[in-house]
Amino acid sequence: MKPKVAFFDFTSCEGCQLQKLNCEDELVTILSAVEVVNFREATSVRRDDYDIAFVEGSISSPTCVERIRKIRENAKVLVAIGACATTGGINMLKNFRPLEEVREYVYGDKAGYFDTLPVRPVGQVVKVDYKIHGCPMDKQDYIETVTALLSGREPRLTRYPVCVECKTAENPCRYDFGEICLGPVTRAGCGARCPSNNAICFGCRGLVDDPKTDAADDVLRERGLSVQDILKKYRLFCGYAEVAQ
Amino acid sequence: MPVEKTACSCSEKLYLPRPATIVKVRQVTPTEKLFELRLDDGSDLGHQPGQFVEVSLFGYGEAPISVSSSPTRKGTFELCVRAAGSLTNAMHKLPEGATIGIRGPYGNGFDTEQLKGKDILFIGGGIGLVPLRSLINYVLDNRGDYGKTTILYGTKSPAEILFTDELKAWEEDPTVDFRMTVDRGDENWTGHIGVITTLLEDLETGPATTYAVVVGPPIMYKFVLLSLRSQDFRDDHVIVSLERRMKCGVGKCGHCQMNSIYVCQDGPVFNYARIKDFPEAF
Amino acid sequence: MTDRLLGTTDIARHCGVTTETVVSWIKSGKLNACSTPGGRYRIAARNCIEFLKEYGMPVPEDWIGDDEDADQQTDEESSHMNQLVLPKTNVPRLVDNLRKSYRVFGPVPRGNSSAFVELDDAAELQLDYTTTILPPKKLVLPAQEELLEFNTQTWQAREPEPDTKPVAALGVHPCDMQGILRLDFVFRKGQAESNYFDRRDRMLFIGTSCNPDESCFCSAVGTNKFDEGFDLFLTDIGQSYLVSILTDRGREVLKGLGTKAADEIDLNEMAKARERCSTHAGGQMQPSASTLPLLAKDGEDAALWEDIGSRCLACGTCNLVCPTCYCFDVRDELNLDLKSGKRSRFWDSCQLDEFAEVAGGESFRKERSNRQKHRFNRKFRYLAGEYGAPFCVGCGRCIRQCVAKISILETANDLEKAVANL
Repeated sequence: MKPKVAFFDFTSCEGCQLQKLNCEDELVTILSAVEVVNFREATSVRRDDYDIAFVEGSISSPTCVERIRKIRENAKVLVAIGACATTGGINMLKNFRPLEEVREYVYGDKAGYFDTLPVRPVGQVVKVDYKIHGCPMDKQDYIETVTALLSGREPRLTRYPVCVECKTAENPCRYDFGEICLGPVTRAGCGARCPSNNAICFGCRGLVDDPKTDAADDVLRERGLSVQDILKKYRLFCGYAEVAQ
Repeated sequence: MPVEKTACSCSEKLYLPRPATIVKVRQVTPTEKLFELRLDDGSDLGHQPGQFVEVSLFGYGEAPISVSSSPTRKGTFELCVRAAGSLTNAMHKLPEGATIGIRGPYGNGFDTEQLKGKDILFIGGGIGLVPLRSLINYVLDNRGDYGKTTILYGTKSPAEILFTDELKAWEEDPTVDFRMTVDRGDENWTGHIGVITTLLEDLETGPATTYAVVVGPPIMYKFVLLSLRSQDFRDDHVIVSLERRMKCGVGKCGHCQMNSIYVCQDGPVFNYARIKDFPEAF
Repeated sequence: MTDRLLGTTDIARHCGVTTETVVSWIKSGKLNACSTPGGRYRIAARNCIEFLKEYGMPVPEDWIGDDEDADQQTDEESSHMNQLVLPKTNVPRLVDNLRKSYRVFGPVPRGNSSAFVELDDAAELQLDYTTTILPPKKLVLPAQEELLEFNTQTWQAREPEPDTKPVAALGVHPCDMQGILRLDFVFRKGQAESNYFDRRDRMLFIGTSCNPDESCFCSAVGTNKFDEGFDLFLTDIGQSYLVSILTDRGREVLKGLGTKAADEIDLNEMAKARERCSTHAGGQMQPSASTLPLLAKDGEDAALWEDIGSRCLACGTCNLVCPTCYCFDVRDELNLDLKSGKRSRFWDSCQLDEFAEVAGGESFRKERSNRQKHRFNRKFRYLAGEYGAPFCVGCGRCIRQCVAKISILETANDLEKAVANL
């Protein structure tokens, strides 16, 4: 029997769901191996008898909390996809300002109608079984996770930092251009996409399990950068981490 | 002009596994299964006690696993596998008749010649009994060649005890002094309780004629080695087998390097005297 | 006499026997042979001719032909024949010549450095470079290499077919060539690995003189060697390159390039240029290379390792850019059909958290200080002893590219002081 699969989105840009549809070459194979029972962006079917739930976006309101708890109850396996769901992502920036201020800024005089909460990654609200990191999530990562789940094994989660893939791609180091790159502390798996296109690593895949922040802070300070500069870099995508708070 | 490809003295196909069929699977503890395997080409594995193979499961990769059976028992060989990672978990799901890949045997194995005529004190902790069993059964199958045989076996709890049938046979064997212990007992456990060194303290050994063969987790080595030293065992009368990450088994991938040596080539069996000064050994 | 080399298949074909039979002749001492770094037999034409005559077998004319040609040259002439002058303007023609038989890789500018890339157009080539981000190691040991293709249903597995067209590396610096010779040693040691040597034995290496920067230290580790491992070596003597021919395969690709024999002045210029390559303005290694193994051993407990460890990001860069690091990880990829897939190896680094972890999570080298110490020992002590020279080739890449500015040269110097104070 094909596993039943559902896709849900929370606070996010829905770009990760687009990435799934971008798996053009593999899409047919994936669709023939699973039964999609709930995918707002792609089908009109809405069922709750799913085995695997792929969840995009972060949790930022009481209704979000209620919905994700229901999804968790229904799903045998819950996979958080994309930075918003896995780490809180950019939405996390909200938590560094007073909640009321943010609410008024966004909703103006209608702010009273909208309940809001500090942003949390999905894993801080319900149990997450697997994570597919990145902003947006990486296609290959997604295919690896689907393949793993279909064949009943643990999906592979890259543990080394972006530098490994960046050096392998033979990119010049962003630090040599006086830039601050989060590659040395960020979980790889993206193939060092940003540095390969002459940009710094923004840390969208979150920190590695044991980021060497003592060394990283030294490196940044040595280059005349203030603690505030460093925090700003960390906060963009890694606001969840202690080091950013 | 490019040189034509010519007959190479390279050993070809270092990384190509040989297919082997699972003849029998037995659950030996809640986390360990014993697999009996036969190479599909009909050949014997041809291993030494203490050697290991790289087990290959396509889609999962490879893992180094000690051969647990004695080479004296021909035709098939046994691997005792703990479900600890992706590959070993998948292996646990395989039924009898399934095919897996085997490369090897690799490593040096125990020096069965050197031990001839000697009294042997086997000390196994946890799944350390797996490679040790290969040598124990080899010695028992060649009983006349070896002296007094003592086996000490310890696990954390009774649930982790391996090869219970065989342990019974060793216990009943009049030529073997078999003793075992658990760190923590349960309501059904009536045997000895305490870490493995407590068994060692009660033992009368003749360090001059005895070789101690020790296999267990890193923490066990620390205490057993101290205890053996206090019983006047010479360092070169202590033999150990070490666990390392081994990706290739043929001395290329670099993972198992311990100071200047490759555990997959120079080990996994070592005379303690050789490695005692290696900071990375234990 | 000629130094033309024959392979076992050449001889097997001529004698109407299998290559195994030829190998057995070699092993029994009937036929004298030498071997390539990859452990493949090569037989000098003159030895083969002797052998054929001894056993009354006919000698192929083209083997004799080479022999007589060579005999006609005097020693002096042939030495001059091995040192030619190639105008720089003719380098594109050299690339074109190479491309007939090889995939040609050479350095091109990248960012603030350079990189070896496959040359589709000789105009991209920048032979006058300082260093590349990755060493040409990547051509003999690619960052990712397929080991097997498999099918989980039929349980079929096979090794992929090697590339048919061999690779020529143009513009290799002596330090990087020395790196490849060390990799040869590693992959030959114990069981020689055909995955590596299938590629390596067919490669052509053309060296160039270099422009050392402040991170280079080849002369401290004795890797400023211009005639080891190369097929040709190009020394920059101004308007031209002085081409030293080191093998017949090298000589072959120079045909029709408009070279002329080098004169005394050219040879003088070559000597001066090579001297410049070995002179380093930057950091100097205080301890001599031969004392480093002992220093590494005596300095095992030195306090400096803790300091280096706390600065290290454990990002793996130092290993990945090193010409002599060869450690690899092996991973399987299963396709979405859940049947077919491949097993590949990937460069790995002993500085990464998971490198020395076993199943269950125990790591045998947890501390960053111990990983850095391991790297230092691997370069100057462990394999160095067996090889007879340091496994650090002084290319300076790990120094240049370390974000945390950890310098193996400084470490060596500090270690000497630390051990002196112990």
